[in-house]
Amino acid sequence: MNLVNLKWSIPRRFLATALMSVLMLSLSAQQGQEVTGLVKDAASGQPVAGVSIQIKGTTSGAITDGRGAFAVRVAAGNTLTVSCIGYLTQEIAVGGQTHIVISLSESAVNMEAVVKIGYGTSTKKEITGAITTIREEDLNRGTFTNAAGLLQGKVAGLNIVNPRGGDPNAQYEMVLRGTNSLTSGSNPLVIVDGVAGVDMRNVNFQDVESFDVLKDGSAAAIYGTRGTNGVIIITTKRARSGVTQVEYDGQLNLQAVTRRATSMTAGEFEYAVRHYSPGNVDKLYGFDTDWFDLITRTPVSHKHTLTISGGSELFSHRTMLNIEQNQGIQKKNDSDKYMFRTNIRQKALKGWLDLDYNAFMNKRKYTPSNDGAFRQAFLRNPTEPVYGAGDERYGGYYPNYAMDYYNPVAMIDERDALREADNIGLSARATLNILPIKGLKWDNMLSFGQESYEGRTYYTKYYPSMLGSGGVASIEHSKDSDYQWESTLNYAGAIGLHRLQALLGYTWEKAFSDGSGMTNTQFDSDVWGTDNIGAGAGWKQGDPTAGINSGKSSHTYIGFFGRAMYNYDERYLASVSVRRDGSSRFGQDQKWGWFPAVSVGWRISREQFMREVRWVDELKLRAGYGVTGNQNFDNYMSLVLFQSKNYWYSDGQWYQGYTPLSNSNPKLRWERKSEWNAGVDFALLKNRLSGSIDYYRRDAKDLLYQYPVSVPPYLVETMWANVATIRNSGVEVALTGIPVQGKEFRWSSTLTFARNANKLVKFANDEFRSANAYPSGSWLPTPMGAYCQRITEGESLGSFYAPVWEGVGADGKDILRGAVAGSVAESKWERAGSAYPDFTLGWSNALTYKKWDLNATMRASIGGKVFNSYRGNYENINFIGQKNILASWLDTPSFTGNAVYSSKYIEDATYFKIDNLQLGYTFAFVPEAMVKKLRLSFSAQNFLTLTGYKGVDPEVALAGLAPGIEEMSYYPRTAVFTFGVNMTF
Amino acid sequence: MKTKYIPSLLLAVVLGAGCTDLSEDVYSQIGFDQLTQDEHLLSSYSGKAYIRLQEYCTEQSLWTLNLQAADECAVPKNSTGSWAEPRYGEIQQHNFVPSHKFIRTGWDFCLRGVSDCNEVLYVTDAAGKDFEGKARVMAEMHVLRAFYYFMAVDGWGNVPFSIDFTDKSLPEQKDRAFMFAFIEKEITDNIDKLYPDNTSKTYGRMTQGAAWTLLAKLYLNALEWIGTDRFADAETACRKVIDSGQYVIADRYKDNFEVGNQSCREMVFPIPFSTTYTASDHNAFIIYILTLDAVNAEKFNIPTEPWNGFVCQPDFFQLYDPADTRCADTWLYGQQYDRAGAAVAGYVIDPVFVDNKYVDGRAQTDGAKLWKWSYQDDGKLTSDQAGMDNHFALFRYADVLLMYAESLLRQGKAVAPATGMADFQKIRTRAGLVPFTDAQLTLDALLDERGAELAWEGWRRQDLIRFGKWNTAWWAKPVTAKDYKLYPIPTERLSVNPNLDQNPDYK
Repeated sequence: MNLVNLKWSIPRRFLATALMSVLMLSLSAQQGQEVTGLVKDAASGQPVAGVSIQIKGTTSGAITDGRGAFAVRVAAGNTLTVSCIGYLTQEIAVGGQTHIVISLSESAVNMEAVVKIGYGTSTKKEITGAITTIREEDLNRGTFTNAAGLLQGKVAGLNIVNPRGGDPNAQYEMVLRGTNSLTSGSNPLVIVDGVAGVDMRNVNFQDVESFDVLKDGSAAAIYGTRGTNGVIIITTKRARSGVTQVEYDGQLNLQAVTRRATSMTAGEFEYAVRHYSPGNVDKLYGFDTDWFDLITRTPVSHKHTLTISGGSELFSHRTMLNIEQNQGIQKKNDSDKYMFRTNIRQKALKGWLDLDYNAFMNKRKYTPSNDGAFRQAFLRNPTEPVYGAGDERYGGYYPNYAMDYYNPVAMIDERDALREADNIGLSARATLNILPIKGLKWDNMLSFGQESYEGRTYYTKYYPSMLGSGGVASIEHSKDSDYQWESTLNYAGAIGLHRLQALLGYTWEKAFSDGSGMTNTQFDSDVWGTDNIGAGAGWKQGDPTAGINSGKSSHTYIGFFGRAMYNYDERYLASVSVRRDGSSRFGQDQKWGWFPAVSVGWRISREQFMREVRWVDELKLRAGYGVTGNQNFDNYMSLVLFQSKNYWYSDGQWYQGYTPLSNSNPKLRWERKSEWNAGVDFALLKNRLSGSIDYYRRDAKDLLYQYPVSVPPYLVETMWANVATIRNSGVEVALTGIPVQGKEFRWSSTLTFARNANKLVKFANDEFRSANAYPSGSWLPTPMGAYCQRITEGESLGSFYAPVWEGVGADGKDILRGAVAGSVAESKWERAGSAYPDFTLGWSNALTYKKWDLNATMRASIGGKVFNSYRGNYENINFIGQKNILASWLDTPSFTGNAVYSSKYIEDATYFKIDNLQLGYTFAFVPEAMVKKLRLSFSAQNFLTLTGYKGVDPEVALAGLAPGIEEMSYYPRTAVFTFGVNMTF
Repeated sequence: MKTKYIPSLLLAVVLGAGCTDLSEDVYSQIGFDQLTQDEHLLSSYSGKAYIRLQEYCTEQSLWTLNLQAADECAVPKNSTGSWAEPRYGEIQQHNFVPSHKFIRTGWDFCLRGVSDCNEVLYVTDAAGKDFEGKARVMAEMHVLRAFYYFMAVDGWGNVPFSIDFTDKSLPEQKDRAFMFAFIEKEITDNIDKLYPDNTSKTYGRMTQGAAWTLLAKLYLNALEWIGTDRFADAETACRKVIDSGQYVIADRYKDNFEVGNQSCREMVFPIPFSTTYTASDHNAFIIYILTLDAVNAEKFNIPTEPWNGFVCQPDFFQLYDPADTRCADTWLYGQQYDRAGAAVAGYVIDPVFVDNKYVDGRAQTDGAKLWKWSYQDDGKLTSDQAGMDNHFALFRYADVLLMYAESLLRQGKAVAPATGMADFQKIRTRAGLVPFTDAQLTLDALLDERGAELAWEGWRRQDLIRFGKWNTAWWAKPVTAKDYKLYPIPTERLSVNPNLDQNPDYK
């Protein structure tokens, strides 16, 4: 943002320098005194480079250098216009001074800001699609398991959930503008520095410079078959020329449990048994064991990042080293990361060639949590001791074993699990600037990415669910590699008021995935763990849990694409793009598809009649239509393939069997989504208030689902077919304002609002029907024993159906509307709302006072339902005895009936969270000092949730076909407190 | 201008380099072409139709359905609250609902088997490649398909008829008369090409002996199914098995149910199981898990927690002659002992318990548990490896001999050819009973004999229907308003094929 915005990606610094020399030349001819000056950021006190200093009424001026300094020759009484992207423009009258210090304040909106649009860039004023750009300074603060956390609550319509709470290995779930598929993934396409499909875990979240979220069809259509879920373009911090800059960032954080499923303490348990379940007094063992406490700890994590950048105009680099060690609250649940990333930029051939190299090498070493242990800790009888005499095979643990009743301490202590993932990514981009034609360049990018994974797990012979196995060792390896080539020809030019940007491109990607694994059992000793896997006798003795396996698959994507963007006077804007996309995954005649898009814009504020409307700085209407596809499916689904599966007995021995595992459908084709988007962008009151409002309607058609078919003639009872249609429509609002803009105190605030309505428009055709379609994920096991959701044409996905609960009767049983003998026929169940919220809100605030800064992000989700699994299963006195139940049952002891599925357990998911707060203080030093900057910060995350929901967290996974169901094997929610130090040398 | 060539140059590079290639590379599976060109793979591939048989007697299977619908098994809710789902009680009380899970899984077992055979027949034929024994493999597939259809017709009567794998149109529904003729013809057309002998090589395969037994079962039920008396043909079919000299009645009843009993020559058509090779949830031999509880698990050195669900239905238990050693060889009841041989205090199983247990739940000591198939205590089982090495006899020589006697009785012929047969009487004598005299060998006696001999082997429902005892009252089951001799066609399968009409009792 410090750079002058020069269009079409010609290296800006290079042109800026050229421009500056031109200006200097013209200056030398001028009369007047020389004035020198320094431009600083008002908030941080840091020098700002690339600021335009223009003498009002003339074409003369200067641009600040890397240290924020400038020099101009002016006559007394002249006025300087100081402007820079991202800052409010200032005018300064020159009196007699010869040295001026200028503080620039940020503006809420910047119409010149660069926006990444996929295979190119544009500016905010010129774009016609729904694209949200979030820059580093506006991101969430604190610590995150990956970069997705930075965006939570920041982009209207992009719902980001961490369903894994405090797990240091958690991944975020992202859903943009609703669920658009019945079976495929919902994650947006992530592009990191031009490379598609990069795992976000490979980006140090502190390295992110900006996110550009391509939301609507017209913006995402350039990514064809991968555009349906939206596109998130991540730009990491790039190499910069100038003196060598060294930056150190350190974080130390602590976590505390905020929400979890709480079962009875030993005292409560004994009370409940004696009073309400006296038949179970033999299950009181007389001890007081806090199982949750025994398997958890107070996690302490730390993270260190060192960044070095600098170089000349011709050769510069930025290199980052990161080390972090994270702990989860479950014992042994760790995650260590080691990251290295470098970006090198080079110019060659007298301006003809720009080179940009990126390389990263990451190692993640981690121990996944044993989620089952949290559930067992919940269920375990609190009056039972951890250890106790028993026969040898229990290994000293209290010998109380039953189905699904395991000692959680043994589950932690008798398991060793270590995962190691090594990632490398290399990419090189060569841009050939065809200088004779201004604005024409040919860009080629090659990239290679690979993840090598090793998983080792050892369960000792005392691991509760594996007694008798004599120890189980397993080692898994996998390697995923990905090759991409992208070639684009870009032209940008202007004739008079006509401006054109055109693109022609080709992209090719091939990915391979292979893996192998081995498992062995029956070890004489636990001493080896997985390090001597051949020593186990199980494999040789034919134990079927022991064995070896391997597999491999690959797929290819190819795309041809073109785009033309035209505008007249930056007033009338239009963009047309088309992509021809192919994927190996589809049927022989269905491999290729067309994905067109068109969008237009009208900047009303540029019209003559708006000139007089002073309070409107910007007003733009946008409308677009685009078609995208989805190919988040398994490979080989259209082929008849025989897999080795099971064995049969013949000639006195066992032989391998071969069979197709599914019905092949050679007609499988793309899921196609077409989307209309209309929006308005505005900036008012000298840019103090700005925002966007978008309305969209997206119809995703030919959605794949497994439909029932007749056997025979088919082999298995279901078959994949493209039948269904889902419509999502909604409104998104983003408002940014600067309510307070003082000399020392400044408050800027952004509010986002999103409402999405989902509807399954079509689910059947003449050939494929499904009488009772229940999402398989909505099955609630015993004691609920019901599908809590249905797939119904004309309704929203995620619709709960249940018997209506009307209270607890005098007999202690649930009263269910229309019940006959305690149960309600399924046909009489009623719709009990949808898992999707009515709307979501995000509110981000940045406050600065002198050298203090405070950032706070709050999120709210209004409406929506969530199934409370723990209540359904365990808020019931009938289950007390061997196992523990929810402590909250004691609040309603009048309920003594059986656990019966009903609307009782479908609760309102409305919540308000303050999940991101950071207070920082920046020390500024004189430019000559070794330390240029020091910033200290304190962050608090996820520390406050206001909700009526009685379960662990109303914010549950909303992707997929069975949203809004709380996981039984969950990870507790934690608040994270982070101390940070950032130093620049 | 040279720049105008750049796009075409780019295009040439792209197209010339073959960069529009989207063919799929397959690595870990076998494509159709690879399979059909490899003789070894092709002969091994036919095994998939046999592999389907492994699903026959798992927890929620056709076997479970037939067992529970007959009078030999009860699965009330147990003392720990498990087995509380109403689905077992519904079947026991002949409240057959089209959406019932077992009715679907039972149907699927049969029709998937048909589809498997169709596929193997098509692929093996389409391959055009000869391999050793191809004609026999094809014949086995025809007769195995006849078996799957036999089971489907037994349960549902009117079934979808589809025998051409390449014809993906919705199958027509055919009635029992049509299917009877089809099954009969498929067997008689192909029987000569099957293995004629009963050796370790042919164990588990559809041999001539198995095919004749299947035919005997078909003919024996002809009067009930299609109203035609084919008892003479049943007699002939049984004689074919007897006269082949390939089968003998084992010395001990238990010999049929031991772990790894490949050498038992009483087996006519067994489903082989293996601790190692058939170990997943849907194809392992886990009958013991269904019935035993933790105390029994200790006794039999089983390192996992059995599910404590299936028990002997009390009326059925009382059918046994007090002298019949098969009762104690089949059921665990009375005082129970631990592995060391000491009596477990308070653990005395009551095999005859009252019939309100589907409502009130079953105490741990209610109901005899099964131990007919010997429990594997060689240490190979672990807590997560539940399948045993026993084999399950679909057809057993004792069954053939009892069918032979029945075919004589039903024709009004003298039963001397049966009672005079040493092997026939051995069925009685090895159970500690006196041989049948000709006068004692009545149909009623034969039904009881079949019950005791073939308990939980899956044929009781068919027997009760054929012997006219189906719609009588028994433990926890009243006389029903309709006969329900056929199961309803499962809802999910009915809905995908408009050609199917629901069976009459369920309209």
